[in-house]
Amino acid sequence: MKITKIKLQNFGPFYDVHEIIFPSGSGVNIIHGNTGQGKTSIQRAILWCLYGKVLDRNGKEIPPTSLLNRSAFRDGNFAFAVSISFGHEGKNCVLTRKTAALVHQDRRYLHGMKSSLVENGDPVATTLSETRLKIERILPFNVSRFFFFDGEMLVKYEELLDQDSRSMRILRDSIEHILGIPYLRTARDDLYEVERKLEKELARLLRRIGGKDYDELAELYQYCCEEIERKKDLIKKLQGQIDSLEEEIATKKRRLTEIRSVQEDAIRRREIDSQIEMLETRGESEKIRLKNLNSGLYKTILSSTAKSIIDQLKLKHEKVMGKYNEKQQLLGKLKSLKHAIDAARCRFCGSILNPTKLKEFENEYKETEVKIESLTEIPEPNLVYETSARYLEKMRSQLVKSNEYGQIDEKLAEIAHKIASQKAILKQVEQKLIDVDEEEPFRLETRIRDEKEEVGRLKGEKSSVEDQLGEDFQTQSELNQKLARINREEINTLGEMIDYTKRISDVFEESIAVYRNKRRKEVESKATEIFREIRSKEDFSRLDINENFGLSIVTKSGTLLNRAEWRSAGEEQIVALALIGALNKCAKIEAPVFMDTPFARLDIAHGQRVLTYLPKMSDQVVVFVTDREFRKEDEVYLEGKIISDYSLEYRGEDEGSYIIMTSHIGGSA
Amino acid sequence: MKDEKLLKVLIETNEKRENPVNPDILRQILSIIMLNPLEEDRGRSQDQIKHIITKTRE
Repeated sequence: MKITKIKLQNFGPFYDVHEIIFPSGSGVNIIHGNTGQGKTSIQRAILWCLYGKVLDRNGKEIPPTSLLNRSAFRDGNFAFAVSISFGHEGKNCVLTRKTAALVHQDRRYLHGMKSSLVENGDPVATTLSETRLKIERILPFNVSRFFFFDGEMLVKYEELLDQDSRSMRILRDSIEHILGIPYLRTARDDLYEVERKLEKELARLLRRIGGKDYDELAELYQYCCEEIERKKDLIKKLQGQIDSLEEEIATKKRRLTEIRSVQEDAIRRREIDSQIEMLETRGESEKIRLKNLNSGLYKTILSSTAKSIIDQLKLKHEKVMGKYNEKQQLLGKLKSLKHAIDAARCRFCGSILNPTKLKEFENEYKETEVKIESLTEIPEPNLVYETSARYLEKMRSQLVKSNEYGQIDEKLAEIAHKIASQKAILKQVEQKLIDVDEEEPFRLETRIRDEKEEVGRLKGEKSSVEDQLGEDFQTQSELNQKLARINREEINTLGEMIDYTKRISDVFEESIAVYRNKRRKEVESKATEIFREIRSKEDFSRLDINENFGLSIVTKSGTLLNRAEWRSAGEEQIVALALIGALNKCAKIEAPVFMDTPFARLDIAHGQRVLTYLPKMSDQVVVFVTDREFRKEDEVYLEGKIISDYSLEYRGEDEGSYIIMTSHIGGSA
Repeated sequence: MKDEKLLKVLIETNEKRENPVNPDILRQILSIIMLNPLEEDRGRSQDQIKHIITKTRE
C-alpha cells in the first residue's frame, strides 16, 4: 500500500477542501507544522478514512462532533469527508469516507456515514461493511499502530517492557499479527472446524445404519452367527439332558410298579398303626369318663336319704306357712273392720250414725282379735328348708344314670376287641415286610418327582433359548440387510479424510511455535541492527526479545538490562523505534510509515541518527515535525531522500489551517 | 498468494513428521487462509479447505 493523495473536507482545522499529494517514488515526505496547526489531524483523518474511527492519545474514541471543522459548523454545514488515493498490489484505489448530519450530534453523524472503495475506476465496495472488509484485508486495524504512530505515544510501545501489562498483551497480539502468525492459527482452527464437520457427516452416515460402521456391523453379524451356533448346541445339550432324565423316570416308574405290593403293605402297616393308635386314644377317653362317673357315685348313694329329709322339712314348712298366711289375712281383716267402725260415727260430733252396723262391726272385730291372739306363737317361714331343697334339686341332676356304666363297659370291650384284631393284621403285614426296604417306593417316588421338576426346568430353559434363537435369526437377517445397504467406500473415505485433516492440522499446530520463534529471532536481529544504527553510544551488544516480545538490552559484558535499569526516557524511545522499524521490515504487510513528532524526546545526536535511518524504514515515510525538532540544516541527515515537503499554516479561526507545498521532488505532484 | 517464510516452516515441520502430508496441500491451505483472513471469511475458507482435502485424497 502506498498513499498518493489525501483529500480533506471540513476535517479538524481544515476548512473546506484541502489535499496533499505524495510523489510516487521512494523516500521521506516531510510535513512541517507547529503545535495546533493540524499535523495530528492529518494522521487522524487517514485513520478515520480507513477505519471510520479515531482514537485519542488515551486510547478513547474521538466523537464525530469533535472532528468537524469549527468554521463549517459555524456555517451550518454539518458534513465532513476524507478521501485517500493509494496503490495496492498494482491497483489504483480510492477510499472515500464522508458523513453528514442535519443536527450536530454524534449519533446523527454515525448514522449519516458512508464509505466506498474504487479500484481502477470500478467501485468494489459501496457500503460501510463492504469497505471495512476490503480495508481489513489491506491493512488490518490492529496492526495500523505500527504504521501510523505518534511520537508522543511511543510510551505505549515501551509498555512492551512491562511483561505483565495489558497493553503489552495487546501489543504482543498486534506484533504476532504483523508477523503473520495468526495465519497459522486461523488455518489450524479452520482445519479443526473442517474435521468437526467431517466427523458430523460421518456420524450422520453412521446414524443411518444404526450408529455403527461397516466393520462394527460385520463384527456384530459374526457375533450373531456364533451366538446362533452356540444356542443351537445349547438346545441340543438341553434336549439330551431332558431325554436322559425322562428315561431315568421311566426306569424308576417300572421299578415302582414292580415293588408296588411292598409299597401297599407298607402303607397298610402305617394305616393299621394309625388305627390302633386311634382306638387306644378312644379307650383312654372312655376310661377317663368312667373315672369321672366313679368320682360322683357318692351323690347317687346319698340321694334317697337326702330326699326323705327334705320331704319332712317340706311338710313342716307347709304347715307353718299355712298358719302364718291365716294370721296375715286376719290382720288385714282387723284393719278393715277398724275403718268400718270409724266410719259408723260422725267425723265431727262422734254421734253414732248406724248403731246396728256399728254393733255388728265391733263384735266381728273382737272375734278377729281373739283368733289373732290364738295364732300369736306361730314362727316365721323356715328359710333353711328352701336352701336345702335347691341344693338337693341340683344334686339330683348330677346323679349317675344306671345304664351309663354299662355303656362304657361295652365301648371299652369293643375297643379292646378292635385293637386286638388290628394287631393281629399288623403282625401278618410285618411278617411280609421283614427284610424288605419298605422306604424304596417312597424314595423312588421322591426322585421321580424331583426329576420331573428338573425336566420341567430344562424344558423351560430350552424354550427360552429357542425364543432367543428366533430373535438371533431375526437380528442376523436385519444385519444382513444393513450390510447389503452400506456404502462402505463412503464411510472409509470420510474416516480417511478425518485422519488426513488431523494430520494437516497437526502440521499447522506444530508450525506455530517454530514460525513464531523464527520470526521473533528475526525481529530481534533486525531491531538490534536498527538500534545500533540509531543509538549514539556503543556500550551494548544486542537487543533481546523474549517469548512474549518483551524487550531488554544486552550489554557487551552479557548483562541483560530490563526497563527499570535503563537510564532515560529517550533510551526507551530509541528501543521502541528500533522495534517498530524491525517490525516494519519483517511485516507481512506493505504500508507507508506515518510518524507524528518522532524526535520530541530525543537529544540532537539521537535525532540525527534517527533521521539518517528514516528512509530505510519503509518505501514511503511521512514525518510530521515541528520547526523545533526538525530544522532546515537537519535535511542533510536525510541525504537527499526527501521527496516532498509541506508546511501547515494556520490562518486564524475563520480560515483554519492550510497545507502548503514547499517542495515536490520525487515523481509527479 | 503465498508467503515463502510461512510455507518453508510448514514444509520443514511436515518433513520432520513420521507421516508427512502432501506438501502441496499445505501450500494451497495457506493460500486460502491468506486470501480469507477475516472472521467473515471463515465459512468460505473452510469450504475451500474441505474441497481441496477431498480433491487431494482423490
